[in-house]
Amino acid sequence: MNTKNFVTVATVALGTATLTVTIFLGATIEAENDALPLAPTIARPELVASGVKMTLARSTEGEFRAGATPAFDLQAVNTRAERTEVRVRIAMTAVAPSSPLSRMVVIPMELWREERALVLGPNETKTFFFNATTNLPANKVFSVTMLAVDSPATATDSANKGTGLALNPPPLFLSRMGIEGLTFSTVPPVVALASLAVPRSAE
Amino acid sequence: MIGWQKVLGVILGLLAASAILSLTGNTSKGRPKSGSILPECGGRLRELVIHYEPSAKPIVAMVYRDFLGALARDVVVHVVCPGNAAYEEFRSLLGATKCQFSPMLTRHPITTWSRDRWVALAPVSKSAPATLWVPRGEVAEEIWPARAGDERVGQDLAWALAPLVRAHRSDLYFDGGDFLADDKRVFIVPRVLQRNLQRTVSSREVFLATLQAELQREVILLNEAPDHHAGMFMASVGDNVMLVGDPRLGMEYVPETVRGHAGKAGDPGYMNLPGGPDFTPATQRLFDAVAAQCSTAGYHVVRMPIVPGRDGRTYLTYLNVLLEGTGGQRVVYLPYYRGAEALNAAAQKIWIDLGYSVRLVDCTAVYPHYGCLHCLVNVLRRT
Repeated sequence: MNTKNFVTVATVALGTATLTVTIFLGATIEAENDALPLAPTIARPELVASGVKMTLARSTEGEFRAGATPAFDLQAVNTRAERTEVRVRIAMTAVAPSSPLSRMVVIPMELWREERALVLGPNETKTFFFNATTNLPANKVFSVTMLAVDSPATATDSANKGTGLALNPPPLFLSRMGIEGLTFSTVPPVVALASLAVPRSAE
Repeated sequence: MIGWQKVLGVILGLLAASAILSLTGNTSKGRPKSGSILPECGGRLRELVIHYEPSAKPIVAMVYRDFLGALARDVVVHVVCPGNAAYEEFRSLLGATKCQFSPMLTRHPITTWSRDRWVALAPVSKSAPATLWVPRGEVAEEIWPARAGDERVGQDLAWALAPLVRAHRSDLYFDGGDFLADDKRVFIVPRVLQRNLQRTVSSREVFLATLQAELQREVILLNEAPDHHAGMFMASVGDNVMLVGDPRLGMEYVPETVRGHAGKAGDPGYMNLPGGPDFTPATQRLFDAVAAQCSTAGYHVVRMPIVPGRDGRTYLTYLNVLLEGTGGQRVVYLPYYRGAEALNAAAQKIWIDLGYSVRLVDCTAVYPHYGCLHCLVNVLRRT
């Protein structure tokens, strides 16, 4: 091979290798940094107790707004071929956006709770209406949970209602945690993240 | 017409590229392998990640000055900042330091809290990258721009530090501080289950199996615990020894006039604890439940004074620490709080009795914001 041919071969080889490594290494970093899609979340969270499957939905169309009294439909499906009773607690908690310096949001405040015994016939599907009987405060994020309970509540642990500070909040026991059926917010929409990017001119 | 020289050049180039790519140790299909969750104890701190957000300067300045000033020369600290001006400001607030700093500019908002953004998984081999296990999403990101920016930090780090580091976004919701790992097990706070049950996983069993597979450690889900990040109320020091906070012990160092009791709140002015200190039986029970579960799991439990606030978020804690140890030398980077000298001294003594050399870190300005030293610093590598 003469010098001219050698130079041609070497130049093409170098260019090919560089291009190939750049393309595939970049794609591999992308793959390793997770272009893998996330598994879908559960669209309708479900509480199952005593053979009864329960899901929550808003009673009315549209967003809940500050000042409104929210209402919820609990759909219960009895999977058993016999009459079934299940006692359920529906609770709504609220949390305000934290100080931007805080590590985490404050402990949510319970605004409303109702316990009810649901009775369903064999293989029956029924919808139960729950009216929250409280006006939604502005600028809060809400969570509505479902929890199967064994017996009626005997003590109140919501002495912190309305004080603006969850003092001695109910402990978060596994046995008392509910399934989060709904979330919604009365916080005004924030500006998109892209518009908050630090401008280079500011540096 | 394409000459033979060019054809030969392409062939040789492709062969060379194949050899180079194979040396980078890439796996071709599916999720690349990672090792187990990095333990909180054992080995020396080697590579750390902190955030610096200028608005947080008043609360982090003393922490960073004391902690970073105590680190050894061979420790690398990656400083995540929204921009260059922030990084320059960060460097100006430190005194003398020996460790090495490496800026990582995000060009988007962040909070100052590094710990909760990801969990480090060890490399599977010496030549393999470390993995940042990133949560599916951040709490309140839809209403908190800086928290929405936090969600991107794991990815930002992986891009900046590739190929030594990669990121893997989990299907689960969590904060990094929800986990506490030692060389055998990882403890998880109850709220992680609550955030994921019937949202990302169908049952508790699937949840635990997913975590076991991801973290490659025996997983212990706490049945009852204070509603906070694990590092606020427990610390593992290895050798099956677990430190767990004890408000009853903390009460001994709080003046009687400010303690309060079950029926009456404590002095709300004490140490900026909203609602005052919380020494109620209900709260004591939560800490005792953690101690009991650790004991059942085979740990020798050492109780540590702690003073939680009635808001359930603000703690005077001596468990939110960073640990390192090799051979016979063990070091604890330990928070202290101006105004709580008796409590500080009692906690220090316990750590010293456990065989640790204490490096004190002034956390007076930061603890009212629901976190402390361990919450501000994430560990990427240990020796």
